Amino acid sequence: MKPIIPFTSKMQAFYIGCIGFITLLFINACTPSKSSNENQAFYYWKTQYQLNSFEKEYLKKKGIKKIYLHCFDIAVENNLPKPQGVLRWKEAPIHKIEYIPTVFIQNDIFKQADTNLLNELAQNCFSLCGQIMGSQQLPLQEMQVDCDWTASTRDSYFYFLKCLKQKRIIVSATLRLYQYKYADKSGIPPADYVSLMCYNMGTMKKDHNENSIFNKKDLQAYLQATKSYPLPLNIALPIFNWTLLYSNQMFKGILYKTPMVENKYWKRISEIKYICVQAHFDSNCQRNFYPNESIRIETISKKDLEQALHTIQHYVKNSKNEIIYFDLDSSKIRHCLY
Amino acid sequence: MKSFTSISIAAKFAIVCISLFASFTLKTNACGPDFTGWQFSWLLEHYNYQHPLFDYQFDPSNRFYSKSWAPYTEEREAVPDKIRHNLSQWRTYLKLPLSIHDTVIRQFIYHDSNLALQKQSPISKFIDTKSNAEEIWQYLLLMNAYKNELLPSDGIWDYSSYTNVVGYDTVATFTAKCERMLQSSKEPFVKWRLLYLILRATHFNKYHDKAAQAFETYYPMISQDHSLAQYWCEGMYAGALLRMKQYDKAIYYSARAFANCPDQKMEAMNTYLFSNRNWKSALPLCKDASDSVYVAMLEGANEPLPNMEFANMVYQKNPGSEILKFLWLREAHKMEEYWLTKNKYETKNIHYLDYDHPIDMDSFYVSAHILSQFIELSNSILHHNGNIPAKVSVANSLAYYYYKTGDYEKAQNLLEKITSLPKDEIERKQFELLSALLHLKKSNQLETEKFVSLIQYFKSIASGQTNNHVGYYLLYNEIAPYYLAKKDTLATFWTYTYANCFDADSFHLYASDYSPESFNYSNYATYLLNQQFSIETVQQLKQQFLARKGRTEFETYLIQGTKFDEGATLFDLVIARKHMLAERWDQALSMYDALPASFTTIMGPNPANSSINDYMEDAGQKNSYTIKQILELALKLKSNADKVNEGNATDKLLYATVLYNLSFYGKNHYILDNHWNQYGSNAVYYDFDSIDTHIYCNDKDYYEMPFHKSYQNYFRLTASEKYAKDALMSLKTAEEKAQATFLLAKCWQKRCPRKTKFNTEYKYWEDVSDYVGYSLKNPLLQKTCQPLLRIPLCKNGFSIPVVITKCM
Repeated sequence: MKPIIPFTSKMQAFYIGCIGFITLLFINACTPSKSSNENQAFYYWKTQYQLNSFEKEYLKKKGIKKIYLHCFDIAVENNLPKPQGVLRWKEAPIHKIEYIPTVFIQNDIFKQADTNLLNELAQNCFSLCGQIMGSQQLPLQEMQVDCDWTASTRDSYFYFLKCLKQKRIIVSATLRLYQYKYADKSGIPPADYVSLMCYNMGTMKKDHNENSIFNKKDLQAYLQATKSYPLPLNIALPIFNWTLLYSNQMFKGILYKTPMVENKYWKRISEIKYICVQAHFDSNCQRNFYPNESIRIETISKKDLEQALHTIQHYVKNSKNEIIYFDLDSSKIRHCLY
Repeated sequence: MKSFTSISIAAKFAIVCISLFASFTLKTNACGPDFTGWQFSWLLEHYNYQHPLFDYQFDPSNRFYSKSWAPYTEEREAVPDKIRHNLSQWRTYLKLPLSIHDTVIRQFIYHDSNLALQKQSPISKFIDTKSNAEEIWQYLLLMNAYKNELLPSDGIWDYSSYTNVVGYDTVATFTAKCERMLQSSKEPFVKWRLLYLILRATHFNKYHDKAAQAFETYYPMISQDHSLAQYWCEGMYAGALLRMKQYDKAIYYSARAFANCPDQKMEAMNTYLFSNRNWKSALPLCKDASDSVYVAMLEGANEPLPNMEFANMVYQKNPGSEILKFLWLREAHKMEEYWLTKNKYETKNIHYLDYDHPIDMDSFYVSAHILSQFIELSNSILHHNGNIPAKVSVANSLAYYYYKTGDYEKAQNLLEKITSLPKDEIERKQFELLSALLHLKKSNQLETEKFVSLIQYFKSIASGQTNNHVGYYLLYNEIAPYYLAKKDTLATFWTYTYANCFDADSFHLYASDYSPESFNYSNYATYLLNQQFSIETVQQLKQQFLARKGRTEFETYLIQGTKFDEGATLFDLVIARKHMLAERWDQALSMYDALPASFTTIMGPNPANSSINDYMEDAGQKNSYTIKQILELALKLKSNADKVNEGNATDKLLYATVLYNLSFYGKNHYILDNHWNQYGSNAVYYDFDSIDTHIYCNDKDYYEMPFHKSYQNYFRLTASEKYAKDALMSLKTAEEKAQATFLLAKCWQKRCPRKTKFNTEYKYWEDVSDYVGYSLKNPLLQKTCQPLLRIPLCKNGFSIPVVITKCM
């Protein structure tokens, strides 16, 4: 569960203004400044590996050396774990870049898993990653596991990570903000390092006007007053956008394509929120929209990213000296990083 | 993350509170709350794709009380059912005895992937007895070839199973074999299945034109046996046509597949929805009434606005069709939504149909003659000579419409017309329900036995299904208002309490939601409880609950159905809180051991902490105060603060701080309400939206809570202000004076009224309360800030600048 901290723009303006003012008067002198010289990396989260020329040029120009490559998800099907969205290579990887296979695992998998299943899952997961990497003659030396584990699944998940570690590879795990803040309760995953996901801090399941991907106040609330994390850590930042769909104010899902909203079918009611006012079929999303539905088009700006970085640098020791952007996509890079 | 107050306890407590609040407030108003929007159950709720929990429910085979509350999970639930239809066809064709279980057939058809395995099956001998055994084995050979050659391997952890692509050569080789066999085959059963293999191989590998070509070639050559496989082929053809953008024919064939393939309805509907949905363009292709009916249904099942066109057309074409009942009920449901949404507080428009310019539903129903068409069609159906399937439902639903609009005579007449008609269980219960309600309205007498029977029936419907809620509806909207009208507060209380327990699961469906705001009703309930009920009344309720006996048999039934895990301690909690609100800390303390453990085990920060930043503390060291310690501290500080002694200014300040922190805005507010959220911060209270939820219970349009003195008093701000003002007059040090001033400023800040303004750009009512702007104008804050901005840090760490930035 994520915190819900509504924050109006006026309050935000005041807050930021106040902080700025007070900072100038009293705090600034005491705040250590940090430079932003972290290595940049990317998550690649599409199901087909194929980069366009812009993306290749950007990687080259920025000297990107690492890509966390989403290889597949693991979901429950017929009570058994099954890989989904398995990556297909549409072109050869770039040989100067290190690819870290990354696997997203549904938390449900760990709810009723016994050690036999977890051992087998780790073996299968390792094997499939190896096959995906091997198909392009890439070695499998490291894996990252992405799972939103909870108190009830922690033990199983950690056992799974230990099984993976027995494969003699480097294993890293993603870390949600609440798992970072409440490390005592969430536990420390048995991984070589963690990637702190500094996004998805609001609730997407509630129909409001706020951006659930990122807001500074929530980020601060998560990061402050926490003792340093006991594992090496790098930072994952969002450069993604999504469109959230609500029906009768209830969250229905994520639309990975944004419907065309500049028309008579939609009414804009806030900077990011639209309400469908007439039933229609949207060809972008290939679905019908109905008048009881609303969407929230969430994105993150370059300014937001800079703010996020500043805040993170203030509170968190990026011991891996690495920032991973989620995710590698030319339109997102143009919007957020360029 | 562990919450400070368990959600279930909070919900249970809220049930008591909301029941108490409801019974008392409504006693004074002598009218029940209207059911508003989608929050509550409707009698006619079915086939409603606009329900938040599912997209649409279009399956006409679902009956009146459909399971429309369950989300439509095609994959999870429908798959075995789908397979069942095909298994049944094989069983019939091969004349398999019942001793051969479905699982054997399933293994044979779906899992055995080679003839050697299949020949070991007990089914093989039944094939061999058929005159065309060779042909069937040949077909099975091809079916296995399809599975082995044209489907990915079963090795889900084998990467090759995801990367292999079936090229056209492979597809063509396979389909050529199928075609050769199809041309020589004699049996339609086998022929349709061979054609289906061809269509699958081509269509699923994106050779849509080849699929269409194969269908058009072979479809006329196979005799139509109306088998599942025939309609599978038609559905697959519709899919290919859709990809080729030949929408008219795609709609026609998807309608046929929908009508005739019980296992392919979802796919058929999707084909339609992905087309241009110009359903009328497909009508000329229809060869009989059944086809036309299903074409109309495809669109009618998705039409959000009132529109009698579909039901009218189906009635004209085929009055005996179940589709008529389905489409008519959809329109009846829209009517129900319209009438239930209308009430004295709201316009007659359904706003969500057009957010800024609500559609005038009167225009639809009256000016556009929808209402008259609806009644006219209902009468036509009722007067139809035949015993058509829609008749009883139409009578029930129209009677329900008249009942809701107060025309009890017409409603009664309709019910009388169908008294002797055969009814299924759902229709019969609906008939009994309406009869009981009409009797209640006409004679003002509650037939408790009938209502108990009905309530038990609706309770027996599995939780989560639509009309499980009707019991709740009866209690909440019919029985409780009946007692209210009789000014029987206690009976009303137990009716509401039972109603909420009756429907606890569904109630939680909304109440638990995802956000802490969902529990705000409990604050409101607590407020009213403490404002309106005397301790004696609460004790009386507690005794009734313990004895599980009311003054009447029906009341006893209600109390017996009321379940609280915490039992009477919930009432003790209400009483203890009442003492706390009256600052009778000693009496609250004396009840401490009787309170629910879920309450007493809560830990919180020091309530006398002068750094009032409105944030919850992190779990751990700072939450070191038990409830008991807080009560003891409040008792001690109040005792000192109330003494006539100039030396007690600090205690007054600390006691004022305690009262602030026990308020809704403070760190320890969980003592007096249930709104301690589990997210580690109460910063939500900065936002007026969340404060609104305290002003408005459940629905801000209907339950305006007075933003007056009593409201503020509940949250202890007036008492806090009183002590802080007293303290300020006698405090000696600048730091303490700053603390007192700041506390007063915080109390002042919370009086900010809500203001709205019409936003002309986006055309909606915008909240312009400017909570923060208002705070900046706060003279007490300015008084605090101006001199103290020059003091960066006070002695004990009370830093005004830091507090300003953190708190405001």
